[in-house]
Amino acid sequence: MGFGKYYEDTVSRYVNDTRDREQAISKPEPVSVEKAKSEAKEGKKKVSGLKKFQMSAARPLPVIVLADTSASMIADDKIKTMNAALQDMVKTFADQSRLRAEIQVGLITFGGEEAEAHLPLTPAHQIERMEALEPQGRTPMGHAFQLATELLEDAELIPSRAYQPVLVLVSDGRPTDDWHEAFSKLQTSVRAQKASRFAMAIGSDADEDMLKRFANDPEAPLFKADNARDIHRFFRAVTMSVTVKSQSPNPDQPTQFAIPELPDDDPMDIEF
Amino acid sequence: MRFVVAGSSIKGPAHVDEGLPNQDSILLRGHRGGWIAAVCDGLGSCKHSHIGSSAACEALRYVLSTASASASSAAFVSEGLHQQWLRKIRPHPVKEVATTCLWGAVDDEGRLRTGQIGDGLVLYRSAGRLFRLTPERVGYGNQTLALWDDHKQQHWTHDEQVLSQPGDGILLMTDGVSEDLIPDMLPGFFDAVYQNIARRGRRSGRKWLNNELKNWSTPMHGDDKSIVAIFRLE
Repeated sequence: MGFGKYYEDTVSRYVNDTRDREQAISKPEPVSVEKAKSEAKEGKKKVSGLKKFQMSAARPLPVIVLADTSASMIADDKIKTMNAALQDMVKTFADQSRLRAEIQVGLITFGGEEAEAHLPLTPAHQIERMEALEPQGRTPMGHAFQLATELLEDAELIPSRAYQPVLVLVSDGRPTDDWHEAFSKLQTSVRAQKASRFAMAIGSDADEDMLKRFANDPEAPLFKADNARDIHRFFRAVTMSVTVKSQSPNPDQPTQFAIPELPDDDPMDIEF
Repeated sequence: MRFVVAGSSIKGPAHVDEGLPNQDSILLRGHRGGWIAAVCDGLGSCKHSHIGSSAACEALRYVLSTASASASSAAFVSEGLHQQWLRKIRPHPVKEVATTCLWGAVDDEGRLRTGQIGDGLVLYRSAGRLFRLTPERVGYGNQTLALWDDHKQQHWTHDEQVLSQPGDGILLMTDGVSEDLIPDMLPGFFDAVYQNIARRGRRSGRKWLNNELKNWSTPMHGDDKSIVAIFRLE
């Protein structure tokens, strides 16, 4: 799935590298500057550059979407709209140039009996197209929180050199599993708590109190979608925010989260 | 005791594109038969971060030039550095000039003192063994400690060692360099810098470092890059 190259970074910068660890290096030979200069002039001794010590992978900027795929998402083409918006988002990420970070997209869906890692974290430019999501059954959002926490805590999949991950939660209903403990772990785990979290409530049946608590970015309070166009607007805002970050000299700086206006050109745009 | 030293700081491609200044500053200066060095990375979120990083280098130079600092602990030096930095940044508020600060001082007998606040990496070799001063990071690359209003000892990491053998020394680098280094290859990296600088000397060593930093190979890198090295030769 395209993460092979990240396995070289499986050990975060400091894991297994405590200061008392004796390094497996040979004792350096004393070098006389004069002798060394004359050797270098005569071309006797070749010295190596620093490229081989540098990472061959860009610093990642992970974007993880938690998407509600419960049966209620069938109504009013909500799932269809979300599929299209996700596709747009990934395509926009993939088309960006002058990036200062590699945008990676992961998708966790929750519908039916349990949540599923639908798309493992993958560089956006390697995603040809997003598989359409099929709604079914209940809303196991707590399990989705658990999977998200496990992913964020995994230093092999998201190394410490990664920029601040972005978590996006989209739901039209209330969790049907016991979500409190999983949500608490997401909020308090050492690494997971540092992710930036955006949330969108679709329609009037969404658990707005919980979604408000999920959203932790002061620039981006819970967004309420009343129609299909709003779903697109939210994902455009996420796309803009991540794109600006990824092109910034410092991709960790906070960016504006602005919900764009879209032309009202769809007469069939039904209110949820 | 003889030392070989070199240092370089270059503006990252992102700052070149945006027409912004290099927000890193470095210090490398001979001092009473030894050397003092610092690399400081002004926070990207601060309006005048290049002023803050430059002030931190100046503050270290000032503190180590005072008589009381010559025999004092690394922690004492950091505290003095912070106080001097607060004076030197005036009239700017700290929120406009916050910076990381990694410093090292080696005296003429090879005694090494070093301190760090914030991101970046300090490696040093003493008696042929390589150590890292930099503490383990919790979380991702988006949060760093920095020089701020009050001096908090717990935000600093310090150590004191002796450079007892030829090849012992210290490497200080900002996160523009350290974030792109392969963790398992740090010993090799340290040795490669030593071998190259020892063979080239200070001036040519600086040119070599400049060239290496300008031709950085990690894809999409954008940050400013700074590195300073002091090694014992004999």
